[in-house]
This record gives sequence, C-alpha cells and structure tokens, in this order.
Amino acid sequence: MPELDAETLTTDAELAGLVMRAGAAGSPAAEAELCRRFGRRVRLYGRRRLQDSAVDDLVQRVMLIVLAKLRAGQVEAPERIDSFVLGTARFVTRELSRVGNREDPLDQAMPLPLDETRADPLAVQSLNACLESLAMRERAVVALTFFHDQNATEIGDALGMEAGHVRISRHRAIARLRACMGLGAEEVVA
Amino acid sequence: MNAACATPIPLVDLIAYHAGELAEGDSERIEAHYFGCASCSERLETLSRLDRGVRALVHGGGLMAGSTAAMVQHARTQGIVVREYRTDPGEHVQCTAGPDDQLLITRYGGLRGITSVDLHFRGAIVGSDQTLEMQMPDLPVDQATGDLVLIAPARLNRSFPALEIEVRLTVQGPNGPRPEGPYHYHHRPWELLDEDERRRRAGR
Repeated sequence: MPELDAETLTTDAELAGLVMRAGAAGSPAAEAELCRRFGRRVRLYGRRRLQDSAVDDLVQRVMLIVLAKLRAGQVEAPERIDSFVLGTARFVTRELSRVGNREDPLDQAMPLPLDETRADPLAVQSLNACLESLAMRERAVVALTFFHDQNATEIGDALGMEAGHVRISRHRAIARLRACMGLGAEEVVA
Repeated sequence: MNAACATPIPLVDLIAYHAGELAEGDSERIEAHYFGCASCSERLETLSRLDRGVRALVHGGGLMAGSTAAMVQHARTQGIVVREYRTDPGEHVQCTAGPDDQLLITRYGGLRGITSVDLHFRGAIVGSDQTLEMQMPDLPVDQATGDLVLIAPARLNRSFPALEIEVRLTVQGPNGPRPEGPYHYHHRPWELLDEDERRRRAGR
C-alpha cells in the first residue's frame, strides 16, 4: 500500500481506516499521526484519573493496544475510533488503578516519541506577566486552583467567597490568561 | 489550527472537569466529546498547560499573590524554600531575604471576619529621602487564620535596599471601609547582616 501524507487526512476516522487497511504491513506515518492525535487526549484523560507518574504508561499502553487492534482488523467501527480509544483508556486506567497491580513492562515502543504526545510548556516569564495583569483576587483563585489543587468550594471556604463567585472569578481569570498568552480567545464573563 | 467545533464544551465546564468538580456522568460526557474533537481537546490541553505553568512559576519563586497559610504549607511540602514573617497591627518585624529563599511570605493579622482588604505599602529607603510605594486593592483574607497572607518572590525582596516599611490596610467591612495597621517591617539586605542578625531575622 502506498504511504499517504497522514497529517493531511482531515478526520480521525480516515486515519483509523488507513491504519486498518494497511494491516500487518503497517502504515508508519498514519500510525504515528494517530498516536500524536490520540496520545494527547489519552494524556488529558490520564491526568484527571491517575497519578502523574502513571500517565506516560497509560498513553503508551492505550496506543499500543489501539494500533494492534486496528492492524488485526479487530476494530468493528473504525469511523468511531474516538470511542474505541476512550473505552481502551478507561479499561487500562482501571487496570493501572488496581491496588497492588503490577502491569508487565512494555515490550514495544510507540511509533513516535512520547514527547510528541505532550504539549509544549508555556513560557513562565510571559505567564507571570499575564498573571500580574489580573486583579489580586483572581490571581489568588488561579494560584489556589492550579498550585494547591483546590476546587471552587474549597477556595470559597478559604477566602470567604461563595463557590459560585469563585467559579465566575476563575473562569474570567483563565479566559484572560488564555487571551494574554495567545492561546485562543474564550468568552469572558462580565 | 483545528476545525472549529459546532458544539464546543463551555469553558466553565472544561475548567470544572479539569478541577475534578464534576459528577462522574458529567465527566464521562465531556470525555466522550473531547476524544472525538480536536478543537475541544486542544482547549482542555490549554488548561493543563496553564496549570503546569503556574506550578512552574511558584516552584521558580516567581509568584506575587494573596494566598492562604495552607497553600504556603503546601509549598513547603513541595520543597520550595519559604521565609515567613507575621505581624499584628502596630507590631514591628526585623526582616531580610536570604540567598536561597524562593518565596517571601508576609502575614498581616487582626483580620478575623474580614474577606477583603486594600493594601498600601510605603518603604522609605534608609539614608535617603526616596520612597517605594505600592497599592494592592481587594486582597483576599485567609479565613482559616484571619490573616492576609501575601506571597512575593524572594528575589524581589533581595533587590530592595535597606527599607523602613509601613503597611496600612483598608478593611472593607459591613459598616464601610476602616483603616487597620500599620504593620512595620525593617528590611535589611542579607549581605549587610552578620550571622547573629541573620538568625534574628529568620522568620518562621
């Protein structure tokens, strides 16, 4: 099968179809692009569900299972590859979360470096300048959210604010930070 | 640039998901969406980048913000080098910033039942007639301690000359604004202090 430019494929379904049709012969560019796209989403999922130290493992295990199933033609609906990857992520997360569970070490590598499933870190100096443009209360809410891992209720209790007020302040602050950092505009709550 | 999403997840929901505030069913609904949506997964990834950026900023001793004593303790458990001074209204504190300090914490007491204060900082440079002044409106008060807990980069304090600092607060109470303080800080640069004086200014 001729190798296609996987990055120009517009949909995840097309990409999954390409990997599946290539079968055991493999389609390296398509497989790498599939891992690039879904590896980042699995990483986001893992950060919500697992300790940081387990997230790399999750990303690799999920993507290797997905690729193996596609190559073997065992994905019933490649047009819903997103659901298949999510289901696999849920299954592997449960396995990794089991108390005392020791997964076997991986004996293969993903077809692209793990780093390509990580987002680039933000420039800290630019972020600092953007934080300093926020009101002091918004800055406190951002610091307690991201550094201290507190939710709106906990922040409200700590600062004497209603949780709803914390959510508004947090939303406004984050929307402003995104815009200030050039990360895309979001509607800012008045 | 990813194709726009026809039904984007509202930012407020992405934030709540990131913060772990949603019920399991709502989290699963959001996961089902962003696994199939390049645009929304990128927006969620941006939150993750901001999260890591703020952590990196605090670890690098770069944050200036009102905070809580619990967050300061959390910073200590993360291995961040913290120097902390606490004053009640009218008190005087001898202070400095050491070469290894990352965050300098000043705590202003006597604020039980208060949720917001405006801060006025005035530092007279010793041996001159010059002053440094700063205003910070609407600082939150830590409800667990009744203190204003102010985090500043220690490197900012290391850049200060010898200063006689007076901090005055305006309390936004239910009966209107009222003054609180002053709180006095006598800052001296680390390199001008002998060992005894450094110990005396160790803080908490």
